[in-house]
Amino acid sequence: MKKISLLSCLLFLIFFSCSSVDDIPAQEEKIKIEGTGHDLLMGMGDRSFKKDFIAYNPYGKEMPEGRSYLIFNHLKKASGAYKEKDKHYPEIKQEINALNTSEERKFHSVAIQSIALRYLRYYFLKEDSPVAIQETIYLLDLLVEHQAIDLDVLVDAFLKVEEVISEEDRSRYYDHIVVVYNQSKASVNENALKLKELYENSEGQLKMEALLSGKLLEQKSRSIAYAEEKMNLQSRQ
Amino acid sequence: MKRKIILILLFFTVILHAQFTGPDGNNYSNTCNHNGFGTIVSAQVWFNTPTTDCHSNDWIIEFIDVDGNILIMTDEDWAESSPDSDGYYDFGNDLWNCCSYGSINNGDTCPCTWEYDPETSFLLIICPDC
Repeated sequence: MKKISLLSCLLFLIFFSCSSVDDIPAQEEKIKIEGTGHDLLMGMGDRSFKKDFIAYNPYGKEMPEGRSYLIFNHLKKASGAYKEKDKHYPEIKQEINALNTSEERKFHSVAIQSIALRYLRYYFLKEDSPVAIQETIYLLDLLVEHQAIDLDVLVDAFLKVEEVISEEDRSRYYDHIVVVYNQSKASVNENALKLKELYENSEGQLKMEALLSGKLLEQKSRSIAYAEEKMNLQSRQ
Repeated sequence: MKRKIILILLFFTVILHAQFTGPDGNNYSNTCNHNGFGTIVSAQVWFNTPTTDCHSNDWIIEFIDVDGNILIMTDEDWAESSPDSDGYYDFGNDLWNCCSYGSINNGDTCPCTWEYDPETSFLLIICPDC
């Protein structure tokens, strides 16, 4: 009996030590090609504004204790929708629907928006099937309900479905986009010169941080220009 | 005898589970905060690493800006926009400093020109040497 117990222990030890030794060279190989701080800094700034997913925080400038489990359990599945398409979508949609009608709706709002934005950008906005149209309507409605602020996704989703939704919904979504457009412009106008000055008058680490902050604001300004080009929103200010 | 084997199996299962349950309770072993900069009031990363340093291809970053809005980025987003990275990133660099590696680079090595048009709210930052 003792022998069997000891044998079980040994088997486990051998199994886990073997797997970790095998993994290390592969991981080190991958690490060689990764970037430094500046690569991510510039990578984040230079990636398309269409893939920056900004969510409205219903708690204003405060943050609740803890984060929605949706962020840790499902956000990366949504981020992976560009390669795995709708593999996880049905189960995630079901969970979102349940949370959206629960008392915890507000707590999960940022996660719900972040997931909806990714499924739209990485999957449904690229497809023209009836299912894609139907899910775009569902996710756009969800985003407007959560007062989402990611302008370029809202604009693209609206333009994709505006011909097939009711006049009432069309008007509601359009008005929301105009509000977001004006708020985004105000935010850029308030912060662009401040950040430029901070960048020009700082050195080293602070300069790099001002640049990252500026790059994120630049993405917002590109999103504004995109919305203006697609929907001619300037006239609605 | 069977009971002992089951107990041993349970023991290893518990040990393995504990090893990968992170500070947020969501299977991330490491978390690191940044006090904020520019219009970013706070930044936090959660990550797992296959090695003993801060190199990771399993991470989630959360930026909160001055308006309270939240931008979340994952290694999947990073891999999608920069396929060569395979999602890997080093959170020991100057920006995050989750590990004490010392200086890797700084903003002075990359001079940028800022162009801003208040009429259209268009901001363009050009960094030719980066």
